[in-house]
Amino acid sequence: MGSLLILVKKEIKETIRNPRFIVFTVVLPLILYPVIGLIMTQAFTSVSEKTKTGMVIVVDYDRSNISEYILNSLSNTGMNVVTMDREPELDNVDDNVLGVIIIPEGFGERFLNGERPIIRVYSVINSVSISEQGLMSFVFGIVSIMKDALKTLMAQMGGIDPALLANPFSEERQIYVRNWHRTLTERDLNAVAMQVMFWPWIMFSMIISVVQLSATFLGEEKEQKTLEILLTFPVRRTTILFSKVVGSSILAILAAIFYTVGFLIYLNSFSTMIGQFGLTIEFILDPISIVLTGVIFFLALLFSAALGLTVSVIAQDTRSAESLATAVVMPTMMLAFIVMFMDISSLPTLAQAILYAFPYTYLMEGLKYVYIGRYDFFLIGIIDNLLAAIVMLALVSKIFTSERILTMKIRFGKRRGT
Amino acid sequence: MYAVEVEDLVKRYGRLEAVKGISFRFREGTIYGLIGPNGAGKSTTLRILATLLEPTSGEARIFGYSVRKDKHKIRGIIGYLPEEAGGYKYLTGYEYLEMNAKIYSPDNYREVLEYGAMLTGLGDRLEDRIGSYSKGMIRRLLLARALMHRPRLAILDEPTAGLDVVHATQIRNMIKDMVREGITILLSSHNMLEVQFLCDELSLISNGVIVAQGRPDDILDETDTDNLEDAFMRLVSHG
Repeated sequence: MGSLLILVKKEIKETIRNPRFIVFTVVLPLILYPVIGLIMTQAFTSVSEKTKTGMVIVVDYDRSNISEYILNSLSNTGMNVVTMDREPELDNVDDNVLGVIIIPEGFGERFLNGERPIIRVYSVINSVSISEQGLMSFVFGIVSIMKDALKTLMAQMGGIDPALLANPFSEERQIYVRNWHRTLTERDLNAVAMQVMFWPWIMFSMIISVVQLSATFLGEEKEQKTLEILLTFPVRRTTILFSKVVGSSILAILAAIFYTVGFLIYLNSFSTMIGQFGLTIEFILDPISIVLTGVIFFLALLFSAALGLTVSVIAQDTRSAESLATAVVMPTMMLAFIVMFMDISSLPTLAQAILYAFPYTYLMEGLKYVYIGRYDFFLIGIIDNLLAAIVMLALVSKIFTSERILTMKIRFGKRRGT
Repeated sequence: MYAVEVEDLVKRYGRLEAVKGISFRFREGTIYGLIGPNGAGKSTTLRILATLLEPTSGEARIFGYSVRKDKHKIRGIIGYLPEEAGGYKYLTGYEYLEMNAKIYSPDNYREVLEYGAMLTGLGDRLEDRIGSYSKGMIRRLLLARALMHRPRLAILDEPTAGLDVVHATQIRNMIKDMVREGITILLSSHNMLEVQFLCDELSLISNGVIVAQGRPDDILDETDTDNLEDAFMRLVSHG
């Protein structure tokens, strides 16, 4: 029993002093997941709040008893419904307008003649994100309430065609995206959303692989004890540094290509599946967007490589470098979640400023702006990424050209006495 | 001309003073040894001379070049073998030597490469990845790397550390051959018998301070001992 206890103590000490344990068992569950949960809760709370405070405009061109009956049924739900005489310009509606429902002239008459009338429904959302799509579902859900009201009326009237009873009217659904100043069909929005919402994850995968890769570049040198010889080569230290930046960037681009190919295969299989439901996924990048995205991609890659090298300079071996790199990249994972779940432009100004100071935001948000040709967003992103890359390269270069590259160390374990 | 001149050299790491104002110098074409126990300050001194560390105070020159101001020039005329060094495990021995030859001698790298390959004595094993080498093979490869471009000064930190008697003897013979080719050698060792066998002159270091320097025989005479280990112990106990 005594030997078992000694060996168990050894196992526990050896494990908890391993930086990987700290990162993956302590940092990840205790910090990252609660923060991600907070982001999701915040996003859905915001949706819930908007449904309470927001309003739905109904334009009743029909003005029949039937349409009035429907409107009354909506008012009875406590929903903030405002009636208007004519369609508003979607570009100019207030921020709290969630949707516009248009009941066409002759709606009631067609209904009474046993025909299935058609109404138009616009969901008004700020941008493409999971939370905004929640608002879209809310507006389209109102249509169901209207149908239920009509079904009740039809049941009272009696003698109605069962097919009409099951679905008393059809609706044309469209979505107006405020930030894009565009109206999309539900099918188009789904296609775009698939791309813009998965994009942050592809970018996050790319970023973490580049940072980890470049972090191990110097960690390997330290671990294999080749660094001192390398640093006595009769070449400038900056040349050695850039050989690592370029080397890791080339390998990272290769990794990114593999990621993209894998993702395309995934999307292809996915699109085959959703094709059965009449939906398609089409890629939305045009040549200018490809160039601009490519430039941001390259600069973000450079920044990531320099970030990884900075990590590797201060880590004492490959394992520490990988763990430290993962810890450093954690906020990027949160950013990916924010981009997927929330509309950054709806956040407080300070939060927006912080997020847009972070170079990866432009890479992750980029696809949303490609769609509307907001190339100014890309230019700001290029400047931000360029500055970040320069600052990070200058920092790592300063460390690299001094003796600190040999003497700086981050220890994850307890400092031992000398 | 002096190959190496060190004057009042001090190196501190925070509050720890590893080298406490040492001075020594020696001429071209000799083997000079820094000897002392582990932690005496030998490796720190050699790392300063190899331009890896900055001196806290004092000065050191290699063939007249200052380690503070002329780092790039010094790197071009030295060959350095660290105490704890390894090779790139996924490169073959030949690829590793080729990379070094191209960096040090881009104009005649083939000749330098062939010379380096010969120095290793590894034969066909040079085609294998370094990851498959024994400790002795790696040490021979790294020593050949440090010497293949015929540097004016080879700085060898514990060149035979951790090697068995066969490999250690091979490396000592290699070092002696190099001096005949005109290369000046500065080496460190805690193996005092090895230094006594190899070096023309030496400094005995203890706790960052030189306790004796000169030709091995002169030190033995001065301390009235038969070997450097006894001489060192006598000097340290009297100090």
